[in-house]
Amino acid sequence: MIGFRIVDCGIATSIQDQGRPGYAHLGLGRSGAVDLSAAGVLNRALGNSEAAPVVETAGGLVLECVSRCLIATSNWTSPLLVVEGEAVRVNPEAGRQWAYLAVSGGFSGAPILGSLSADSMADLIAVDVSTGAELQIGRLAVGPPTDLIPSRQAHMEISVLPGPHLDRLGSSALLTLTSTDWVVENNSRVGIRLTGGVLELPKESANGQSEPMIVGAVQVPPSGHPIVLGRDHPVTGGYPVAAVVDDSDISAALGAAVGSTLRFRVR
Amino acid sequence: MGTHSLHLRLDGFPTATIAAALRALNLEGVSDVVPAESTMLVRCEHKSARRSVVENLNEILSVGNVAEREVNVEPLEIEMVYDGQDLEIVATACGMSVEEVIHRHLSSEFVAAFCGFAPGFAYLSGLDPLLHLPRRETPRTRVPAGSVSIAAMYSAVYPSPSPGGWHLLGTTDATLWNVESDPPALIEPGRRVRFVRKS
Repeated sequence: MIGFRIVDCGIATSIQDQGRPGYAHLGLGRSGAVDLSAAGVLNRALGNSEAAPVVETAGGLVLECVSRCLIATSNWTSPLLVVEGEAVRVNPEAGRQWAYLAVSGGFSGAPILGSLSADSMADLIAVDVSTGAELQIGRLAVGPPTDLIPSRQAHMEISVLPGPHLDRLGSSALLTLTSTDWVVENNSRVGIRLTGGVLELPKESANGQSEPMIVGAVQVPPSGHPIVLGRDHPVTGGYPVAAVVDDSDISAALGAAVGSTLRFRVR
Repeated sequence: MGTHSLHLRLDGFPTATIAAALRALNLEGVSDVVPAESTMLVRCEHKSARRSVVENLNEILSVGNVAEREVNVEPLEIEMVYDGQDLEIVATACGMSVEEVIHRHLSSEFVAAFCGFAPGFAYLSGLDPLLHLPRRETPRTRVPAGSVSIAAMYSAVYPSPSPGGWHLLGTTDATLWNVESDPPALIEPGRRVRFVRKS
């Protein structure tokens, strides 16, 4: 069933689910919704499985409803009935980079390697979301609605665990990392770049061997401005990793909008 | 590394072989097993998965076992033409003729050490030591799919068009990456590879 027609595709819009695990050893990362917890909450609010595909956008997305359905967006988490011809606008909340649109039954399409997630690193697009495209609705509803999206502020405390390369970074690295108010300078699905301080990187440590990377890893490039790896991160990398964001805070950290601040604390 | 995942240093062990053995166990809660040069990442979804990984790794790492697993199927042969833009540069930098560069590349016995950089991009170790060169100072903004290249101790085939800083020796028609196939990558970590000259 066609649910929506895209009137304006907005910025960095894609379909996302929980991604495609199991292919990282072949060079294909997991991908998936940047803010998995927000996507999960919207799905639950509609009685969908948490894994149901949603629309992710950095803003400016406008859709026209083609078949009436129940939706939830990060602007309005309660289920909302939209009818034929009605316009739906999706924009991130203040302080957040990404907004989500979920539909009762989930968005559907032909999965690539088991997932509908578009992967910006691997250039995979399972569902066309360009202006003029039509979005299909599936039948993934499973149960009654439950909870709400946790509220998030423009300044957040993020739990981290010490990284594997602190020996290469020097003894003060963790202290600097946890005593700086880091400002989000840049945010994409590949990762977020932080400024507001510098993590000194000993020259001989700049380029190491390629090592496997994980979402939430806080890498230190030669500039000393850390990068937190996002859902579409490269599967291997050579910069030292100072810390890794705790699973419980990955959605919050990766969803922080440009200009907001993060303070890391060791869990 | 991170909440439940494991980042393991495996100096002296074949990371691809160990990763393949661990992946084959299909342990509950283990979503990805990713080998790299001398380390390996095991992505675990919960604490008990991590425990079962550690228990099973002891078994896998027992020396006899690793040696047994190393015995491999026939090498994958990749047909290629030596028409790369960097053949002359490589020959000059290595102090040999173009023919000798080709000969040394053809007679290298490669093993896919790990994948990364792009989907299906396998780092093939085993390159003749006389062909080891640093990457180009300025990477090309676009290298065509199927380009056979070398850099440092590796050779690789670009699976899709991308920027790249490796030296281009030639081209192949082989499909390195296809999401319709299972597995989607032609070369998996641990696979032996040989290049064959297409006449």
